[in-house]
Amino acid sequence: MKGKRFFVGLRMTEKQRSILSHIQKNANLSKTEILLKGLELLSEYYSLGLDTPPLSLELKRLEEEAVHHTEALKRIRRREDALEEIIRELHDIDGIVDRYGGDPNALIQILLDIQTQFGWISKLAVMWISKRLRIPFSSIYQIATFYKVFSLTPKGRHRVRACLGTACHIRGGPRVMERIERVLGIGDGDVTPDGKFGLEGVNCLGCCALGPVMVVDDDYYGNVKPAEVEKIISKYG
Amino acid sequence: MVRGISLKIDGKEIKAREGMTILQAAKAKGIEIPTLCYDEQLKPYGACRLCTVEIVKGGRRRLVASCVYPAGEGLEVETNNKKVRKIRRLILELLLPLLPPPSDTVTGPIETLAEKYGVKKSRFKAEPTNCILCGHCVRYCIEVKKANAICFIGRGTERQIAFVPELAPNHCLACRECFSLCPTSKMVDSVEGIWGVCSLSIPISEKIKGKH
Repeated sequence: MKGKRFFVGLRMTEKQRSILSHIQKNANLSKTEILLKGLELLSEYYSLGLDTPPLSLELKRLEEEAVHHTEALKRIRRREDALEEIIRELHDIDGIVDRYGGDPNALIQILLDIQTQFGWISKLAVMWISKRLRIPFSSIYQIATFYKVFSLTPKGRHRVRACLGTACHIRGGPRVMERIERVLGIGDGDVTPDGKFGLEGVNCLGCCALGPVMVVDDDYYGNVKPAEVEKIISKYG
Repeated sequence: MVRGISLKIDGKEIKAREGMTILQAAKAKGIEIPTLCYDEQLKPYGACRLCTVEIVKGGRRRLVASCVYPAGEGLEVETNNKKVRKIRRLILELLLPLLPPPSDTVTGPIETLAEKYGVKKSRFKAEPTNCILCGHCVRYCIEVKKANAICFIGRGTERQIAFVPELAPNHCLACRECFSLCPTSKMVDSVEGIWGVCSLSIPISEKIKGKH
């Protein structure tokens, strides 16, 4: 145990910390196993009333998720770090859900907050929201795929949007889009393999007099010529 | 005492119970109205619109889906006039491109209805997704089986059926109860035929990218 309010480097509430340290004292478990047990007890802490078999399936999938996170986040190597990252994410999601009082009617708002904070709705988020709000996965998937604002795959660190609206189209928007695709090596809707850039062809951005328009994060570039695309992209690393 | 309702269907005086829909009232008296998305064990959905009938209410005429429209006192319903038959033919013509090319072995309910109403070919481009989005499988899984292992995703032209990959591999192979409800053979194909068992675990994010 590292400190009064910390357990294996994670900030927790007093109750959670005491539960986990109680397990550690009474069992000869590795850090990883304790974290997994901790997840189990966190669920019970929220009185979710789950039968053990489905929960152990969930924990198995959370373990698999740890591997996926290792891939996606790149900088995390150790499995235990990944699990810690997961617990941190679960805490953040908990915070969001608590802001709406755990009300299942606030599902769309909760998903919006998660999308804004994380940039995507991860499988982990879907599973945890499903448990906290007592909503089946299918309901969450139905809503997350209905609205275009939600993404079920991670978006790149930098969001590149090329306007495909009418005015930009006439002024050569598709040629700019084509050049971006070539420079980044990905298609519309994809993310580069290193996770740096995500490309989207979007509808009219409303600055037609500046067409063709390209946006990277919050920076708007107008009158873009295909030759300038590479220079713009290189500004972002 | 349950209040009785009297309405007219195709000129006949019909008595119905309060809370019945036009379709239920008609079925009870043996009047045939074609349906595709209607099933006795499921809540009426109103998706296929094949049960469309014309009602006369307060002097105005209106087309409604009889599977969801409540039978009302003094309602006049026409289930088989020229307008209604034209609509049925058009709906079937819109559904035909979704089916695979006609085969000798299988004649599903849609093919049967198309033949009955004289729809031989469709002017629309073929798009054999083999799913008419009637929702039988989804509604059965949610309302009857309560497993929530299959759901709609997307909207508009992108709308499709998806198995929930976290649940389907464990539930669906053993269950398969929704298969018998499917008016095309999509369900069977999905799991065993063309797509293979692995289609149950396709992540939702992959499915929504392109219609499978």
